[in-house]
Amino acid sequence: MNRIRTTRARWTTRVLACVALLVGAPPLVHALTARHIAWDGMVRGIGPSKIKGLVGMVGGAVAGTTAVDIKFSGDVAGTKRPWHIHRGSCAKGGPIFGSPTAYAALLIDAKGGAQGKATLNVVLPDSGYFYVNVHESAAKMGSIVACGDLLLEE
Amino acid sequence: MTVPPSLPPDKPSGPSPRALARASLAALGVAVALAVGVVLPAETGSDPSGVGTLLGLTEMGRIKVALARDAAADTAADMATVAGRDATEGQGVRGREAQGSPDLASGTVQAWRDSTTITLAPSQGIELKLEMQQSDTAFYEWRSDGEEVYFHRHGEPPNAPKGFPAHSYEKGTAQSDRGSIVAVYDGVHGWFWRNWSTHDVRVTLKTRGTYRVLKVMP
Repeated sequence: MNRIRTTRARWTTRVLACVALLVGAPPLVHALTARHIAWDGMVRGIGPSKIKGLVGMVGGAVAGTTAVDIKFSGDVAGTKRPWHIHRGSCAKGGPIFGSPTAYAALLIDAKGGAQGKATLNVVLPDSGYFYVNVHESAAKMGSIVACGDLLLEE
Repeated sequence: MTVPPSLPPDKPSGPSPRALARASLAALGVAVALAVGVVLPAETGSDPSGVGTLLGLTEMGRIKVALARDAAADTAADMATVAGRDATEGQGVRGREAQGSPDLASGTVQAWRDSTTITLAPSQGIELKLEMQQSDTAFYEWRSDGEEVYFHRHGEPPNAPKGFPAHSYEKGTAQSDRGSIVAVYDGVHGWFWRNWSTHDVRVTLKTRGTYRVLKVMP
């Protein structure tokens, strides 16, 4: 009787070990092959806008923060453009990611180019959907002149 | 005279034939499961069980197959080009020297060590890295056969924890680029490319210099 119990216990252990391996393997493999986390996106003008540029999102210099940078050309010199990273997509929209005040408006230079940075007090996400919006002006926040979905570099 | 006590008959040592057969069958089962679930997807990109997709191995296998196919096509094209040039010019140019990178200082042409072509579908990204020691220098040239692609040249130390901020050498969009990477630390250094266009794009990377291996990051 004892022998039967021992054999049963051994098989139970083996089966549990196999289940644990199957359940634990994918995250383990992912952890072993995990690289830096970074997001990139192309900013493209909407309608008559000829804006074209890049947006990126990486871990900030301080742990637990996110650094965002944006750079584009093809805009109207002298204008000032508010911008934000949002959760969601250009097609569906979504809330601003981080504090709205962290995004200083971009001043378009004489050549029609602009670049800016923002540091957000939120951990850099490693999943989800994000996009960048460039607004026409502070007075016309509802008018979007450029947008770009971000994708995870993986 | 004392008589030694009688000893019990010897028991056969080791597992019984039945136990051995059972263990062998179990080992065979594990081997088949690993071959179908892990090796097949990782080597060929074929994943009949679905485990390879779950582990992220199928994509790796597909990339590996695509790289091998592209490399074979490149080699065939190289040989055809060199053969044609030899035939028309009668020069003694051989092998990859004909496609090396010019060393401006010495006026000589350096042979590329590795040449890889990858195909990126719209929105697809891929990362190719060189394993380098700190201060190693690698020379490179890459070119897209279509529109500009997004690139991020960067490096990471080995076994970096998740979320470790990579060292960024340069990022932007371009149709081609050439230059060198001087490794800022031991680790992997190279390129992430993404095709933001609406068509497939082929990117060809050629490298030479001091590095251990060029590899596709999983």
